[in-house]
Amino acid sequence: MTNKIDSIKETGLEEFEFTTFYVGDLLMGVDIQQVQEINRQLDTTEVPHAPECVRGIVNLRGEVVTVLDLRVILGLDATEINDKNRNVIIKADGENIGLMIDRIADVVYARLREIEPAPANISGVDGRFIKGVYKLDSELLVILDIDEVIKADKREGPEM
Amino acid sequence: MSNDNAELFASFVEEANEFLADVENDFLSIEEAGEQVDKELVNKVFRGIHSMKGSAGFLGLTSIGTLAHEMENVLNLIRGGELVPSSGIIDSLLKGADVLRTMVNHIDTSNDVDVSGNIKNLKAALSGKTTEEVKESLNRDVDISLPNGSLAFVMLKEMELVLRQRQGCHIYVAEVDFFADVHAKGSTPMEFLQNVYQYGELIDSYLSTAGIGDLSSDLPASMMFMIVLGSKLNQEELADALKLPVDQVHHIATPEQTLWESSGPIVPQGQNNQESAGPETAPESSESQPHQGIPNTRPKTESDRPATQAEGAGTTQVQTSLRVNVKVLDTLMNLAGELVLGRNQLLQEADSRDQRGIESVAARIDQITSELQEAIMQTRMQPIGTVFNKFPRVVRDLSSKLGKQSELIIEGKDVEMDKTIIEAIGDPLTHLVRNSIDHGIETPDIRTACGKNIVGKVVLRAYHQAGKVNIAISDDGAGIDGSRLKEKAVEKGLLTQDQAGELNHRDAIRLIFHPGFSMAQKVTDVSGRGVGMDVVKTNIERLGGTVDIETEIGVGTTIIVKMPLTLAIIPSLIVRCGEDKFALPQVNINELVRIKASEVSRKIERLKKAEVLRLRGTLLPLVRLSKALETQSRFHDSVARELKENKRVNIADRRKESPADRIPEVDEATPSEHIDNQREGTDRRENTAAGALNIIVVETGHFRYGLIVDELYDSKEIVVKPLGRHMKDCHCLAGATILGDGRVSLILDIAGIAGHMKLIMPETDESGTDKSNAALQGDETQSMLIFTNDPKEYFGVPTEFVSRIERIRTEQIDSVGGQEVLQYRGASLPLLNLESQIKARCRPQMSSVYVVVFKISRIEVGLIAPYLVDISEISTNIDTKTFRESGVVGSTILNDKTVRLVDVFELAEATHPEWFSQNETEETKKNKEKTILLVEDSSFFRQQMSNFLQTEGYEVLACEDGVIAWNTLRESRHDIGLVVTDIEMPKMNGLELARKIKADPAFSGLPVIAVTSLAGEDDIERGRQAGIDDYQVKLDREQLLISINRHLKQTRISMGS
Repeated sequence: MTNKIDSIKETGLEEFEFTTFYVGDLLMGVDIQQVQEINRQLDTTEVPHAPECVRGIVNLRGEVVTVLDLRVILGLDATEINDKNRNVIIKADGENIGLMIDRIADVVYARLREIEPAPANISGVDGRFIKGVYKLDSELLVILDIDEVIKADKREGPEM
Repeated sequence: MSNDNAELFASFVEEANEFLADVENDFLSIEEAGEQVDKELVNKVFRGIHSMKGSAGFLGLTSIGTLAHEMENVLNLIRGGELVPSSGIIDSLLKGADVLRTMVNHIDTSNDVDVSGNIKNLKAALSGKTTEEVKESLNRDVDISLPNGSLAFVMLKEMELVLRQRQGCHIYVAEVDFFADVHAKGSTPMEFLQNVYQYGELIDSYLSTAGIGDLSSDLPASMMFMIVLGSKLNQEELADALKLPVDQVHHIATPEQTLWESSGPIVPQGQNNQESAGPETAPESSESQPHQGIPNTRPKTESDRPATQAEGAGTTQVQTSLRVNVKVLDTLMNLAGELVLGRNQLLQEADSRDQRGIESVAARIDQITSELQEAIMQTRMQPIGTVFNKFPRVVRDLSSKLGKQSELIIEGKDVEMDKTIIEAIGDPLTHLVRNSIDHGIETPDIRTACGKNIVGKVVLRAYHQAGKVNIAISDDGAGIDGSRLKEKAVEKGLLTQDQAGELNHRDAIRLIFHPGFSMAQKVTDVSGRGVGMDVVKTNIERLGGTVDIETEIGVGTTIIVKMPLTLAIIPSLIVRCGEDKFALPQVNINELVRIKASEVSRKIERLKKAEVLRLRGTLLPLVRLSKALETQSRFHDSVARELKENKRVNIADRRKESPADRIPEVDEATPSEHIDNQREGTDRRENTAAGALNIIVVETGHFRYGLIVDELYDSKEIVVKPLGRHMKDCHCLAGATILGDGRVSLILDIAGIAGHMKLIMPETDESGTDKSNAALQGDETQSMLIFTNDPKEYFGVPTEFVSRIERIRTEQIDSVGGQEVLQYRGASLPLLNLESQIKARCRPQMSSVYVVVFKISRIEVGLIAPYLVDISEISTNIDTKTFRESGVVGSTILNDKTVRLVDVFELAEATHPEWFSQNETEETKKNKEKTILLVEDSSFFRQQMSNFLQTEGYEVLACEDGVIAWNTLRESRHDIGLVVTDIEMPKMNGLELARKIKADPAFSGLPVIAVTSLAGEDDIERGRQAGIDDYQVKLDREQLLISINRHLKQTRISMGS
C-alpha cells in the first residue's frame, strides 16, 4: 500500500484537493483534478449484458457516458435512488465515466505527508480500491483508487 | 528540438505518402507511353522522388535516401531520353516505391531495412539498357570543392551533374544554417526545402553535424546543411530566391573547368573511405562564425548519418491527419460565429420570456445546427479516388502474374465518401478486383477462342444513387456458372442435391457469399482459401453497405457494392422492449410482420422448443428481444443468473439435435429442466396474453430471423455514439444514440443477438420440407393469395396477377350505376365483389376491407377481399369440376379447407366485356388462322389455357407431354403456327422439345413459347439456350396472348407474306 502513497507523493505537490462524498457511511475522496463535474443525471438507460456494476448510460451533452454504481463496485447493495444521489463524472483515459454516489460532501484539502496507507479492509471495502486514508477532525477520509474502481468490472462481470 | 523533429518527421511521412499514393499510376502511365515519353509526367515523378530523397537526407533517413537516389537516377535517364522505360525497369521502380512506402510507414526502423536488393535491381535495369558512356558516367564519382579549396561533396555521380548541365542548369553548392538562415527568418526547414525544389533541383544534401555540438549543450549553435543543386537561375537570383546571403551560394564550374575533377576509378563505398572520413570533425564552427565556417569536408557515405537519425527516429509518432479545404474551414468558422450569436439571442430572449422571440431564435439555431452538421460532415468527405488509385497496380501485377492481359478503367474518382468508409473499403474492394482478374478474366488463349478482345476489361465505377454510393466492379470475363456453384455447394455438404435444385439462378450465384466457399476452381495464392467473398460481404455489411452480384456466363460479372455516404448517421427503426427504446439499423431490416393475437397460436410454432414463424412457406426462427437482452433479469441474484445460463445452453443443445441422433438427455434431470418448464409456462402465457406480436424480420450475413419486440415506433436518423469500455463485451449492442428527448438509447447488433442466442439457422432442409405436401407429391405448385369473403369461404388468386393490395375504409366505396368504384389516387378504380358474380356468401359488414388490385388490358381492377389469410404454395392438382362456374376455375384443399380459385379475368369479362373486345384487330384475326400446339402435363393448366385460347378464337391442339407433342407435330396435318409448352413434364420436357423443334429444319422457324409457374433467370437462360423464344407466366393470359400474337405476326412476316 505504501507505494500507492508514494505515487501520490511523486507528483511533488504538497497539498491535494479532494472531492469528497459518502458511500454508505464512508466518506470517500477523489483527487479533484480527475473530476470533470458532478451532476444529478440519475435517470440512466440500462444496458443489457453489461457488468453488474454498470448502472447505465447517460447523455452528457452529446457524449454517452457510462455510469458505474460505486456501491456495487465496493461490494455493497446497489444504490437506491433518492434526492441526495449524484454522479461524479471522472476523466479517465480520454473517456468520461460517472460514479453514482450516495451523497456529495465538501472539498477537502489534505497535506500529502498526512495521508496514511490504508488498512486491508475498511468497513467491508476491499483495500485494493483504496489509495490511502486521511484523518479529518471528526472522521476518516478514504481516498479512492479511481483506476482500480474503473477496472473493477472485469472481475465483477456476470460471465463468471 | 525533439518536438520540432517529430513534426518534421510527421510532415515528411505525410508528404511522402501523398507522393507515393500517386506514383504507381504515374509509373504505369510511363510504361504505357514507352518511347513516347511524357516528359512532363516523368518530371513530376522525378521531382517527387527527388524531394523525397532530399528530405530523407535531411532527416537522416539513409535507407530511404539511398533508394530514392537510385530511383531518381533511373528516372533521370528516362527523362533525358537515354533510357526507354521497359516493363522490367518499371517493375523495379514499382518495387522500389513499395519498399519506400513500407519504410516511410515504419520510419523509426526504416534505416534497418536492407535496400541493397532493390538498388541492385534498379542498377541491373539500367545496365541492360544504357550506353557504355552513360554507364561509365553514371558510375564515375566526382568530388566538389568550394572556392576556398575545401571539399564540400565527394563521390557524387558524374552523371547527375552532366545530365543537369545538359538541361541548361548551373550547378551550385549552397550552405544553409538552419538557425540563422531559416529559423531566424521565421521559416521552417521544410519550407526551405520546398523553396529549393521550386527554383532548382536538389542533387545531394547532407546535414553537417559539426555545428551541433554534443548532447549536453541545450541548443546547437548552428546546423549547417549542405546542398548541391542545379538551377537555371544565376547565382544572385538563386541566393535571393533561397533567401541566403550570396556568399553562401557557390557556383560550381562545368566539367571542363577545374573546380571539380574526376576522382578516377570508382572507389567502392567501403572501409577505406569511411575510415578516412569518419573521425573528421569540425574544428571550430561555433556561434561566432556560423556562416563563414565552411563545414568540413564530409564524404557522403552512409555511415555518416546516424547522428541525426538517432536524434529523430526514436521520438517519431506519426499522427493521422486530414487535409481540409480552407473554404470548408471558413464556413465552419462562420457557422461557429453564427452559433454564438444565436446563443446570445437565446439567452436574451429566455430572459425576456417572449415566446415569439424564442421561437425565432430556435428556428435560427435549428438552421445553423443543420448547416454546421453538414459542414463538419464535409470535412470528413474524401474522394474515392484515393482508394481507386491503387488498383491499376493491383491489376497490372496480378495480370502479369497470372499470364492474363487486362486493362482497368476507373470512373467516378471524384465521388466523395466519409473518410472512415474510404479507409475501410480498400480491402474488400481489393479482394473484389483481384477476384475479377483471377476468376473473371480468362487467359488470352481462351479469350481468343471465345472471340473476345484478348485484353480483358475491368471497370471500376463509383456513382451516386438514391443517397448512397454505388461501387460497381465489372469484368468482361467468363462469368460465374451457377450450376457449378451448386455442384460445389453439394460437394462441400453445404446443400443437399434437392435444395440445390430448388435454388434459382440468383440464389445460386449468391452461394459465393456463403462462408467456406471459395470461387476459385483451384486454390491459388491470389484468391483466398475459402475465406473470401463471405468476409468481403461481412466487412461491407459492417460498414452499413450491401453487396450484390450479377453475372452471365461468357459475358462477365458485375459486383455492386452499395455504401452509405457516411457512417456517423444511420437510418434506424426505433422499437420498444420492456421500458426501453432501442434503435435497429434499417439496413438490417427485411420486413415487418404483425401477427394478430388470434393468429399467434396458429402461426408461431415450436420446433424443438425454439419458436419459429411460418412465413410464406419458410420457417423463420424467432428471437424475443426481451429474452435476448434479459431485460428483467439483470438484477436477479446470482443463483437465478446461473440457472438462466443453464437454460440457454440446453436450448442450444436441443436445437442442434436432429431427431435421428437423439441422445438420452441425462442433463435434463437436473433442476434446470424444472426451470425450463417454468419458462415454457411463461412463454405460453406471453403468447396468449401479450396479444399481437410485432416481428421484425432482420437479416445480416447468413442470419435471417424474426425479432419480437413490444412496440414499433418511427424510423429516425440516428447519430451513432460509441459505448464505454465497460460495455466491450455486450455483443448484442452496436452502440448508443441520443434520441430527441435527450435520453440515451441503445443500438442493437443483429449479428450479435443471433450469436448471443446461439441461433442456428434452420438450414434450408427445414424450409424445404415446408413447401407444403404438394411439392413432395411431385406436382407443380402455384403461389396463391388466400382470402375469405365470408369467414367460412376461402378463395385464392395466383399471386402473379396481383399488382398490389390496398386497405381501404368501406365508406370510400361508391356505388355508381350498379358498379362499385373506389375513389383512389384521383381516379376511380372499378371494384369487383365475389358475391355478385359467383355463388358466394355476402361479406359481413366491416369498416375496412382489403382490395386486391389487378391489371386487365391495362385497366386496373380491384377485387374486394375482406380478410387476407396467407400466401401459400398450393398444388396445381386442382378439382376443376365440383365448383366450376364462370369466375371460379376449380378448387383445392389447403389445411383442411376447401379453397376456390378465382379467375379474375372471367370475373372481369362477365361484368365488363367491353374491356376485352379491344384486342380484336385485323392483325390478330389473321393470326387465328393458325393452330396452336399446347403442351402441358397438368390437366388443370392444360384445360385452363386451352379453354381460354379457344375463347380467344384460336385452334388449339393440346398434348400431355413432349413426346406426344413431337409426334403430333410431325404427323399433324394442321397448320401449326406456334407451340406453347410447359417446361417440367414427364417423358420429354419442354426444353428437350424446344431443342428438337429447333434442330429440325422443317420446324426451326416455329416459335416456341414456354409457360411456367415460376420463371427464374436461370430457367430463362437455359430456355433461351434450348431455343425457346419467349417465357410467360402460365396464368397471365394477357401477356401470353400478346406474346402469341407477336410471334405469330413475326413468322407471318418472315415467311414473306
